[in-house]
Amino acid sequence: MGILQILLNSMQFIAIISLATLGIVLIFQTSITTNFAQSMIATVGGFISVTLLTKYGVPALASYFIAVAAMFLFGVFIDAVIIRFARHVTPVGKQMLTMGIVLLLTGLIPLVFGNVVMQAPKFSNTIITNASNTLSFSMHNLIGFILAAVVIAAIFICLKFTKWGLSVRATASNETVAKMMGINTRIITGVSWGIAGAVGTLAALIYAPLTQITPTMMVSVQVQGFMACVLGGFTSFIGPIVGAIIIPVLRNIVGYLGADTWKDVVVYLVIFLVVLIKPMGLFGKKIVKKV
Amino acid sequence: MGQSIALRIKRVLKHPLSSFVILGIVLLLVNVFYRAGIIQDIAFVRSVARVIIYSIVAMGFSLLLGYAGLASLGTSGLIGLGAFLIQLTYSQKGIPMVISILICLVIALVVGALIGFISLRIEGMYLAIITLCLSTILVELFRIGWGTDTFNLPRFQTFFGKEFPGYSSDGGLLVRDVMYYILVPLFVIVAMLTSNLMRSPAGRAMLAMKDSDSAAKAMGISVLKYRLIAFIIATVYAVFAGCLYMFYFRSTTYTDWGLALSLNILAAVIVGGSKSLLGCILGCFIIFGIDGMFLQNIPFFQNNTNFIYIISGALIIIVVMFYPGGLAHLWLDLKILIRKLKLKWRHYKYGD
Repeated sequence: MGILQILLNSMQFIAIISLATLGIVLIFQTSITTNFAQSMIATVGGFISVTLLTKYGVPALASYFIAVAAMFLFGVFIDAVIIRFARHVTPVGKQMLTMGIVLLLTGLIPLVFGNVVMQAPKFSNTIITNASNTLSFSMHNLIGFILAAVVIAAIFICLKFTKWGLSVRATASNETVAKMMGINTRIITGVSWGIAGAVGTLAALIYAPLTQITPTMMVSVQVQGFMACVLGGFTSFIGPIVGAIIIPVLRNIVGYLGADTWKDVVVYLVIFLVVLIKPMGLFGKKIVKKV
Repeated sequence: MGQSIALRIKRVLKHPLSSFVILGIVLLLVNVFYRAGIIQDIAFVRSVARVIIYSIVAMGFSLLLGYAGLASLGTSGLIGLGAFLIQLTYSQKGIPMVISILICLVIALVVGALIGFISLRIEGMYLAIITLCLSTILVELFRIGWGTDTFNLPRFQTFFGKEFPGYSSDGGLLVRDVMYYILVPLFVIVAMLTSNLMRSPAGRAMLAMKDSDSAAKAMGISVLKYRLIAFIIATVYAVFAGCLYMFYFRSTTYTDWGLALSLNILAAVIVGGSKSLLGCILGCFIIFGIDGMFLQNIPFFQNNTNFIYIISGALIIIVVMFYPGGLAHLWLDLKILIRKLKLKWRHYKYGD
């Protein structure tokens, strides 16, 4: 197994983790909280898609669209009902709010979708190999990777070049001033929550066929998403995505070098040391605090 | 004479530490009642023990969050560390119980100091995620050390020189009962120590640090010293609770110590009120206790085991949004309300 194969194997997790990370960063930038509910919202999207597919026989593509759209609306709903009214809550309190949403959804999922274990089908079951049969990867990973790349690129282009992107960046840097400049920060945060829900669902859709759909399936993805954010720096948009690319590649390389049981420990230690040296992450800027 | 005794009792009750003693006596009575057959359900006693153990963690955490203003998501890994070290020292090397707990506490001291030093460099949300990172490393180590199976602590053969039977059907004293009677006094002692610490100069210094680092520094408070103290105490409590968990529940897997437990302890502290010890205990009771103690006996909750999550989730959201001080304020607010109602009643009865 060469280094090229390792990169190919990392592709699926790069796609999943970078999508999850993007959601976390968007919410962190606009609502100043680490959203623990990101994984749960994504999982609900996965459940919706699989239930539509297997129980009601909806075509696969339609079920994906419905799930992503539903979770976009659900994200907006959460912002409109809970987060918007918690502006004066402390940062830890805001984290607790998202934790409350996690618990609510943990209880609601079995009530709504039933307690059965479900298996999502892959996007495609083909496995692609090169001519000499030394490299192979599945079509599912390729589709997932391209999908993630397109979505992330689109969001980044929007962030950079559209009026919406400018408003998001303004809200991220200072919400009060942004409001004074005539930006409707309510819509900006609401849409950010919606996009976070949608990209999270996309991550869940790519991840679900590789495992079984359970309420806790996205937790490890989310933890890695947080790590990616810290590694890249919460204060930039591009940093966390770089972090999300580094983590799976590093893990697979460490595994390849022979330390298979220790790969997670090594990866987390590396993150820990990097953050110790650069406390604001690789791309983060130091925030100057006023006394 | 009789009145003076009543006065004396009243004075003792007014002492700030008396509430912990009363709580301890009530908790001891739980197991006594179970042995006497008044409480039939063993799950009830187990849940109370769980609440006691996690309350110890929560008290350390309340010092960290409510006083020093430092958020940590690594609590669960540290509790697991206690359990893991007990496995290494007590179960593998055969070191006696008390000495193995002492070894754990020394290691906790070192780990706590380490995290304290890290907290000087990394702050806020980053600190929370980095402690989560450390906790994930610890859990990975547990997975490698324990394997994926459930790890069981071997039974006590002798306990402080006395022999104990493994099971007893004739109502004799079991090891778990003895552990329970050890657990409760330890819990009360820890609560008293923490309560004293919070009202000591160290606690005041931490409060000053929480509001503003720079202002605290300007007042001559060493930020390094008090952050170290806060983290060391929180870590030592967590590891100690892990040891007690292991000796009481005697079995564990590495999946017990994930992010969910950290968040639950955070939730307990926030719901209860991060500055009040009794509030923290109340929060632990709500988050960890209610389900096993009462709801499992109601048929509706037996059929819908996940319903408890909905209740606690809704409770967390409501408390954080509408009652930011936590449930610890409930008592005070009730008192004020009653006083107001009394006043109104007087106005109504006697006129202005």
